[in-house]
Amino acid sequence: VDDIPFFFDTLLQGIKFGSVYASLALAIVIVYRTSGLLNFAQGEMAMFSVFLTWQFAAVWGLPIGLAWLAAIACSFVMGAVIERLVIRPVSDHPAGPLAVVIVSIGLFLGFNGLAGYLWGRTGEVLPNPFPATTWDIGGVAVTATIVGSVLVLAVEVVALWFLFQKTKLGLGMRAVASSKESSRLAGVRVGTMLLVGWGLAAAVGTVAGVLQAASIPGNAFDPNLMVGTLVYAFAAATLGGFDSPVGAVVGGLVVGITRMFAQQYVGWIGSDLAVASAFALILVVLLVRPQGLFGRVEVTRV
Amino acid sequence: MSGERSLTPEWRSRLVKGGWLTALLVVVVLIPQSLEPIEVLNFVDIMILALAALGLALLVGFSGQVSIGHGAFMGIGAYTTAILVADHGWSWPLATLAAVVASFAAGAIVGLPALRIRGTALALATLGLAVVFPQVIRRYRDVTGGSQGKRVPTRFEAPDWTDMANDQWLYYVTAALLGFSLLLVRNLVRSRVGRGLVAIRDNEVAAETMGVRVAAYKVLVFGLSALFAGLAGSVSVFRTRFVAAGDYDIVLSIELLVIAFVGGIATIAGPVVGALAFHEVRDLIQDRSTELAAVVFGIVLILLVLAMPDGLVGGAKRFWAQVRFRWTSMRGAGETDPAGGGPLGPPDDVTTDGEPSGLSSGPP
Repeated sequence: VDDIPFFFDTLLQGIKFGSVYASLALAIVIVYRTSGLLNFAQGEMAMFSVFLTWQFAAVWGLPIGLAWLAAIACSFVMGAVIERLVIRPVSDHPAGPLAVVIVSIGLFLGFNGLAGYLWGRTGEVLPNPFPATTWDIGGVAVTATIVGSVLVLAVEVVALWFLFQKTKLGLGMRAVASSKESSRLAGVRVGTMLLVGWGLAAAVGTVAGVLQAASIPGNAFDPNLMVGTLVYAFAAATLGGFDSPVGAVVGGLVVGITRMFAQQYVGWIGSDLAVASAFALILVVLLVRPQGLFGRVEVTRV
Repeated sequence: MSGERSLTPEWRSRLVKGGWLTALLVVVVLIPQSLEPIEVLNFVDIMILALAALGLALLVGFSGQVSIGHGAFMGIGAYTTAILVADHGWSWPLATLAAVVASFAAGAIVGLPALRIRGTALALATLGLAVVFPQVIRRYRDVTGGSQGKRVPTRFEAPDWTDMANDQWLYYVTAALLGFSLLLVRNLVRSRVGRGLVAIRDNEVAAETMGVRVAAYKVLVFGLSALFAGLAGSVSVFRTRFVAAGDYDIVLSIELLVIAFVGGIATIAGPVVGALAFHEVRDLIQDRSTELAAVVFGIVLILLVLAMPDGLVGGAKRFWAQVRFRWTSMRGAGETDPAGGGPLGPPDDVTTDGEPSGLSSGPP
């Protein structure tokens, strides 16, 4: 197993899954930056969006690219509605962030059950958004899915950078992230910004979900598609720092590559315990450097 | 002034409480004598869920942290018991003891990150645990049986001197363990340790300044909380004599959270009421669809946080306090509610007497 093509193959697989984790971690970071909360249902919402994509493409016959875009739009609305309907009412709950954690766990259970109720647990096959082309580069198989995943992640990052740094909306969202009170005084519509933040996160999550389904051989998926992915994405966000989009992308790629190398090169880990590498990473980072690589240290005022 | 007054309100409420408890105890003792075995086992299931949820309620109520991984601790207890009894010929009680120690140790280790940061870090770590645990079971399938599951050939039998059917014996053993655990938690809550924990939850820095050993207490409460889940898992093996990887997934962990919150983390009775309500409602919906049950419980959890953060027991207490307040103010103005409850005052389970309160009044 120590030949060079195998090494590069593992690396490429790692980058492919890393793009998925980076995407979902971006969604988690967007929510954290705008509202200071962890959305534990982010993965399940993404899974639901994958079923929406499948519904548009396989049942209603839209081309897969168009179906994907339609699902992204629907998910944006879904995220915004969830923020307005169940998150905002508990955001000033006396128990603080704990209340939102519980609500997001309720969403986790609800979305998982709803997907199972509507579409069953036996699983479906998502039409591949990428062509089935494979390039052979020096004995290493480079599939269009790998290239496509990286490209999609790149487009996503540029689009988000543009939104946050170059538009008035993004400026408002950054202002809300740094201080709700000050932004409200300065005339920023805080509610709208939170709404857009959750919608945006759900849209970005849709990208992650479809990439994940496309990464699995055969493109088969079921309502448990994103449960493991959520742990990888949380590991990515923990490593990068929950308030850092750059950290999410770097963290995602590191986690993806670590996962594949642990899986392929460490015999006793294998595919069963691969997700344990992410769990271990979460524990170690929380213990050693809770703010992550790129995050800001939280200072408690006594 | 009058003869009635010689009985102080405090003593009167104690007598009433004692009466209710005695009645409850009689019902609990009589259940296996008058019901079919299958119904008796239903009650065993409910008590197992209550035991696991008790650990969770302790954690949420005291540390203000939440675990999404208590299903895994239940699994650790269950697998420890199953493996020791089936493969190593241990007796049931000894295996349970080992299960309790194992789950306590696992809880203390996972609780370590909670020392570094407050907030949602522990939820994050336990989410990982919930997802990883079934994978560990699958990885070591030659010991654990993996997804196919592992059967324990040894029966959990009633000793001859009891002259009971096995299901009745199982019921009484479970009831005794649950009763003992409830008592233990109740006393812990009112002890020095309990007050220290409440102080930490409400203001960590202040507690540390006052000399509360924050680190030790935090690890202790998480370990204890995992211990109760492990005990529940162990007892569940008495009942089913079977363990499988898929039974201890993240959904179980979330269901335990639902139970803890439905009953209310503010009171000792909460987990029991929550388990009863959860079990019955699940049976009711599951006939139609398991998936629908998950959707309903998800919505219920959200609605509870929105509308009734202290759960069924807390809600009932508030309702009762209000009724009593109306009653006393109808009889004569100026008389205040002895328990300090009533619609304007705080419910009588807030932090002042050292009881857990969790979501109803967390850190400011």
